[in-house]
Amino acid sequence: MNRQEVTSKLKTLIEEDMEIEIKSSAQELNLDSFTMMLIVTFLGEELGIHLKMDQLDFDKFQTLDTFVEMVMVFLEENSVAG
Amino acid sequence: MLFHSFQFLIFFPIVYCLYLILPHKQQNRMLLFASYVFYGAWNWHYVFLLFGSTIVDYLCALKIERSKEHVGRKKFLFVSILTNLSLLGVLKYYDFFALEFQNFMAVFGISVQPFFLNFILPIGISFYTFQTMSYTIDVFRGKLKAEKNFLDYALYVSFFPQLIAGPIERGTRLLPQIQSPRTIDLDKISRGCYLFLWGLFLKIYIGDNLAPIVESVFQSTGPYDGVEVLIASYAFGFQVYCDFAGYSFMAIGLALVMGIELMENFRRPFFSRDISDFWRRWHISLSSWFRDYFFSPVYMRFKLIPWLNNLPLKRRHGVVFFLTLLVTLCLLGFWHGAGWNYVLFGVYHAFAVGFYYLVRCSWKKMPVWLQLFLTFHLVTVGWLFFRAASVEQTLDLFYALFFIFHFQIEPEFSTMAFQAAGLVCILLAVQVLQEWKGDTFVVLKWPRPIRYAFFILIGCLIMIFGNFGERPFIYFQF
Repeated sequence: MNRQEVTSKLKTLIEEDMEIEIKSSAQELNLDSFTMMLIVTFLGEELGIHLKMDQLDFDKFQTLDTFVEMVMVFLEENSVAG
Repeated sequence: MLFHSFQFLIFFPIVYCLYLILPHKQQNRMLLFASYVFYGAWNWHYVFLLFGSTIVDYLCALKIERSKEHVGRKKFLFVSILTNLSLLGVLKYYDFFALEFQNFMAVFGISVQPFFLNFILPIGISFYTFQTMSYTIDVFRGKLKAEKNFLDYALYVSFFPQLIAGPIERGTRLLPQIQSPRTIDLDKISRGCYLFLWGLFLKIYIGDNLAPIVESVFQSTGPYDGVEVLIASYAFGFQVYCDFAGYSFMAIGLALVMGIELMENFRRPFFSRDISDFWRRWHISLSSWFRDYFFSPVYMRFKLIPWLNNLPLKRRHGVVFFLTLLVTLCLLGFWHGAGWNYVLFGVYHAFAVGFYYLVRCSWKKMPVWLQLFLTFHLVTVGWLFFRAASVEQTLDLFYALFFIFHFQIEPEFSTMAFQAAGLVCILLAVQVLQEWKGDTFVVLKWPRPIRYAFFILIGCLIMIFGNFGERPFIYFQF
């Protein structure tokens, strides 16, 4: 899965849940814990990315870019390990 | 030793003068000694509990880091958590559960005489046990290296500005500031002094002077009038904020003049637009603690429950989220005190937050003033659980609030209500500016004459009307 696909999926999820329009991937989203945990569940079930507790940082993940970056790093590490 | 006491007036200048002249390592040793003196001034016996908790978690963290096997690491994490929760559980909750057990058995006609400890709760224990647990958990999660220097770690646990009532700090934030030399500049000193003065103003001018109107209702056995209950609840909301946030501001201010930045603990909660926003502005160090160390791991476990697998993702998430939230907020409520009314406080907020997430999108479309108004009142109603002495009183107050309105307020109560309104005016005026600018230190950016006039005003209000009767901080009982 490439960066664009990940960005698109996450963007759709967040926009639908919060009923907002994300104009830029660097936009501050002011995510609450409800949406944050929805993203965590989505990542696990739809993308097979199971985050560990030390990766969950509520204060860090406030833009689409930060989530996508984290996902891409995870995918890269797992493809190298695989 | 309260921050506005005569003893502290002697204590802190000595500590600060020494702090300014000593090099970094000696500063830490001196602060450690001063922190234990500060804590021992309350009750010297409890210094041993603080020391014991410190030693256990220091050793556990080192063992966690050195253990190569995950099982070994988990074992020492378990020891740390078990030690701290046992300490807290026994000293804070044992007598409560013993009494509940006695009452429960009495329902079946069985008379039991459990042993009661009758301990006075060691001050600050609810705060420093959580702080040390966050340290060992962060070491376990790999977010933090275990501190090898015992004295530096001991200072992290016992640092006196935040030892008694928070903010509950994180090892990732406070330890690096202890390990490295601090810089003190005019900006930090002015911000620190401002926060201390502001905190003192909140506590002894506003908070303590709101106590009479709150007590006139909550310390009465009834009958209650809905209007008086509502006004007293408003007053209590401001009282507990001024008391607790006042303490936090003073603590943060004291640390700041020493070049140490503690975390923000209150961010203008009266401007919360929804109940979820409230919990991101109120007692931030505690709510974020529960979020990071309880809510998140429990959510991750709950979502694995098999019978939820058939639900679509969003519905499953909603169910798991609410269940986790309910348990979390019940515990958060219970953290405040050994009483079912505190648990009900948590339950109430869990349902309020759950309801908010159900209607979140519609809520956000409401005018901002309406969001603020409704949130303020949702929070105010929640204070009934918090302040009431018992579940029974909570129910009586609720009944009065919604069904008993005589609209004939006693003149004395009416006078107190107007005085209370006057007290909070300055608070709200400053907070409107802070919220508008998004800056806690907006006052420091005013032109000098206006800034100094403001400081003189609040200084005079403190000196003339401040309650120097050493009414204890409400959160000390937790």
